[in-house]
Amino acid sequence: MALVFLLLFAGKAFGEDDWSRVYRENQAAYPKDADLKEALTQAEGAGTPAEEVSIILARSASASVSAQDFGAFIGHLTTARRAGLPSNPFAEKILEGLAKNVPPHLILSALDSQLEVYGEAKAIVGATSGGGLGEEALDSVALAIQRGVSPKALRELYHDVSPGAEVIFHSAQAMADLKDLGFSDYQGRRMVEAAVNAGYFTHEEPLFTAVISKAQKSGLSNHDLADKLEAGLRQGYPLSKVFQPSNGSPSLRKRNTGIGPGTSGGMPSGRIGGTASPGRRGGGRR
Amino acid sequence: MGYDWTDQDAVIEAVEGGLRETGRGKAGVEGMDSAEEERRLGDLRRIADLARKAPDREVPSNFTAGVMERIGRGDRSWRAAFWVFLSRPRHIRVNLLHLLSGTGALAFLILFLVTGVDRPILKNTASLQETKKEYVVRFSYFDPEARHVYVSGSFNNWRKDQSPLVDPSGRGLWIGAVVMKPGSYEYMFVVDGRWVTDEYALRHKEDGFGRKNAVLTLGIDDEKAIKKSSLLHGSGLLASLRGKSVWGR
Repeated sequence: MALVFLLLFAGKAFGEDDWSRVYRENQAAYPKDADLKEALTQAEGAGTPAEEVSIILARSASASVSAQDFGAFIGHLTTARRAGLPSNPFAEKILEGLAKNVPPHLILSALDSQLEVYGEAKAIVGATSGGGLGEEALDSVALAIQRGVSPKALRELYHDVSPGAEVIFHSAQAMADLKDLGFSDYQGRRMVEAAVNAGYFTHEEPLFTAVISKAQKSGLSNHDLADKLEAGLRQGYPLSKVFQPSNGSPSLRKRNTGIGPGTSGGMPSGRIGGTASPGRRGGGRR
Repeated sequence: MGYDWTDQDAVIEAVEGGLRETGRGKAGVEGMDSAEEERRLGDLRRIADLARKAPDREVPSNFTAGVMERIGRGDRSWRAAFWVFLSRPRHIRVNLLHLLSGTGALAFLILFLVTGVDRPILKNTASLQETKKEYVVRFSYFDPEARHVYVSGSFNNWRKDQSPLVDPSGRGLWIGAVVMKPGSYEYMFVVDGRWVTDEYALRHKEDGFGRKNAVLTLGIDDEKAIKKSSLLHGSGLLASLRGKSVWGR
């Protein structure tokens, strides 16, 4: 075993580095195109992970993508990195397109749209490509925008409540879920904001969408539902009680077991956009 | 043969006995030359003389027991004992191959900890190392006519044939599991080469190429949510925290 480790160590210490391997693979796949080397050099200079480029190169060559299109793929990764965005989502989109046999020009078009979305998400989250949890929050906000939530609504939401990264991660998807249920951006923002302020979304809250979806069948309009949920959460009712006819009394919360915001904490250390109001975090029932 | 070394007569007898033995060549040490043997005989004679000339003195009856008790008691603090243990000279035999291998393994371990060799490709490595949590996401797909079913998505770099589902009953219920870190993922099923949307997924989004991807979000602290959602959704997609049998999602 120790000998195996030694060999691995020697390979790592004395073998070629990742980018040298990429240049060699590129030379093998696209031997006649000198411009590609420049594109790769720029990608390397922008800090694009060699693994991403390597796998895109292999798939592009396998799918007979032209050198020009491959260079354009890599150019998008470079652009993303230079804009302070993670290149990972763009690499995944390229790989998805290649796997689905999508023509390169459509992949490039999708990458342009994605760059725009991630630019908006970055402005909202204020995250950079360097942060781990911040990067996941960025992905989630970008996904919410792609699912139809307006950047304006997200910007207003996070400006008002200043949540941590984990709350952004889940609440952005809740905004998109409400969009799927037919709520407007304004209604969705009010509802999600009330839930965040009540301590929800420190983790996934499947109950949030389920309760609202069920309440829609009662005949109330989305406008009324938004009002009722916002008022109920502000008064301290748990999510499971806000749509009940009498609304009960806040003391009923103690008998409501198993449903409500999480109590396990689990807040990420990386916080975005400031701190929350004291006493409003940590998932206690309010 | 044992002697009582506190008994002067016994000492003399032992030494003279040694002399007699040596004289007969039975106690000679193998490889010892005659000069060395002569010197040794001289030493023994001197010891015998000293023993004869020594004044008769009564040795306390508890002398041996006292010495042995002090040795057994080990009148040293643990620090002193540890220091003796550390500072005691030792002979060490070194196998050069083992030494090099061990050093290499240690260097590799340090390199692994510092740089993270073998990181998953195309994943957010910083967050993965931070969270350490993994989920086993179980996929199911029903199609009695299907011959090959795979799940392909951002979690496996959209490889079409990396994550197969199996139909153990032969009735068309295809199942499989993939280990994932927290994050957002998109995926589709690949059924006999066709891309098929998971219609039972909780979330979807347009893929930008005219199809619809299922969306899966796994948060850092979603264990409870998974338990809850098992009561709320009869989805074809199930997830659990790795190592636990928690059904849901």
